[in-house]
Amino acid sequence: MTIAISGRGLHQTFDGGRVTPLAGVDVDVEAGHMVAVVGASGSGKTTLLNVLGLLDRPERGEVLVGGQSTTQLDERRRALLRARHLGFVFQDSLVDHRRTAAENVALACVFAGMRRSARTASVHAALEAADVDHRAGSLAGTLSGGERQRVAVARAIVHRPEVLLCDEPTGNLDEANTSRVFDLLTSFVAGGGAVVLVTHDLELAERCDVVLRVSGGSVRVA
Amino acid sequence: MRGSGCSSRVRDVLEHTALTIRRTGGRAIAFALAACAASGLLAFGVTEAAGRESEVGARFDDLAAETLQVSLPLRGSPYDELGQELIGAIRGIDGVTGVAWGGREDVWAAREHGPAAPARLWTLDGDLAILGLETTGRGGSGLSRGLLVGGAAAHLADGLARFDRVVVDGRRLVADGVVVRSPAIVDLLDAVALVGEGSPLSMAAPGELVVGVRPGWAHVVAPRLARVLAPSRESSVLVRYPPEPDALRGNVLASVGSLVWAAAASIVVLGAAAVMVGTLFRVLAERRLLGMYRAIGAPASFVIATLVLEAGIVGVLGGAVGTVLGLGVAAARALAAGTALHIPWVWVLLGASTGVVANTLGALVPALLAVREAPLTALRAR
Repeated sequence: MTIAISGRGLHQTFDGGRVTPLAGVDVDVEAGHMVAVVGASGSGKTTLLNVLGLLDRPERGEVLVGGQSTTQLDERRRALLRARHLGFVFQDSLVDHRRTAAENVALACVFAGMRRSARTASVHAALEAADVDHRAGSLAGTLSGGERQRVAVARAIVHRPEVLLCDEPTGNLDEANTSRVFDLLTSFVAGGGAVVLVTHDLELAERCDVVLRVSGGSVRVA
Repeated sequence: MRGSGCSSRVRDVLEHTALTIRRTGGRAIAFALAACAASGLLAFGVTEAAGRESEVGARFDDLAAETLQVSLPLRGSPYDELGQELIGAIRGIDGVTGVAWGGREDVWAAREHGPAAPARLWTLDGDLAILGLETTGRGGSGLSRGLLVGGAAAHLADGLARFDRVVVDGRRLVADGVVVRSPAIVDLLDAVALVGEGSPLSMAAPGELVVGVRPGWAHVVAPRLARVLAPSRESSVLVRYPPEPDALRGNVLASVGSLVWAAAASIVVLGAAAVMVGTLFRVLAERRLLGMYRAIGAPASFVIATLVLEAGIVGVLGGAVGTVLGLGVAAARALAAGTALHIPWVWVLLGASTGVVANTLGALVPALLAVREAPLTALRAR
């Protein structure tokens, strides 16, 4: 069993301590597993995702990526770790509308420090895997919502990260596109990656390997 | 798979910036137009100021000059000495009010029976009133013929006291006065002067020829004077304007120059402020996008470099076009007015490059603000 990413004693509060979404939470995400995170709105799902994704620092506790502690890392090294070992998919398919689908995906290669010669093939492979390679040269602003989200997933997986962190990636999609995006995530897991999937869709959560329920500051396996 | 070489990173930044400029044409054009307008105004203003300075300077000389001076020895003159014929020819030039001259030599001067000391001796003659000398001495402040002692020379040689008998190169003379002001030949203040000796001035020895002119006639008299003194080699006659109007002109033009540069600096500062505000609006408008870049691993240096480089590139392009346009307008104006075009290249280039640097620095502040914000905060922005 290889732990791709884990949190130890994660503690986070907001509003001067009045809201405690994470109170000493321990989480392990194994490689080759898809972990769904569910819970009521405001329960702390996204907070957990942000802390695990090194976008937010916990008040207490530590996050380990590939067994390496991240507590002492400065922002530059955290950015490097995010660029090389993590992938992100946001709910509202946050892509640069002025860039083509291929250019959006290539951004992740640039930040990961991928060799220039390897970029074109990687971008093409990622777009093909996301079934959006036929729109590679189209500006992201002209894509449909489902296509944009698949481009976002392609951008998240193009540099072959160990962990994919997805914040309600299917929240704004219809059933068909939801299924296609989920299939993409499944393929990523099949390739040995780990996925942390924050979702309100319980049906989708049930298709994951592990379901974590966030409630009252704690995280339990559902 | 990794290739994080420095040149590769620089190329990535350049490509990203070029792509952004290409895909946001409207914004780039607006920025470039601002830079173009600022540089155009700057180039036109500086060139126009240089032209005006030249015109004003020349006119000022004409109006202010009461005398013209020619330093001797004079090369290219057919005359060996300033004889009556030449003096008459000079006096016959329209606008001339008088002619005075002085020859200069180094001598030994001393109080009678005292030790000798080196001194400068001027032998003055002609219409001395145009020299504007002021003296003090036995005859009061009026100019008397005889020996005059420069204020400093009176103290230089220990025995050469005021209003005393002195020996100059073996000649016993009585010092009649002390020169306290000499606007035309400043050297007199540190010298001994013999006045009205009547000996002719050698054109091949050191000295000064001072020609009085009517106000506003300096530019008419100067070329004619040159023709009289050296008919075949007028260019060898360097006519000088007296130091007082020269200094006054310098002061006036320096004041005008200060105003021009204050205006130029204002244009640069306003241009930089416009770029700063523009970039700030851009950063605010693209806050989530920049947050996404940083969330997926863009280093802060990448974000700063691309924002600053974009402003720099657009500023350089707009600035270059603006500078050319500004110079073109200045040239067209000079052509239409029939005046000479003076392009102060150093200042034009300095102004343009200062503008580019100011533009780039103007973009730096919003860029730094953008990366100071946590990626998560930027992502949550609406």
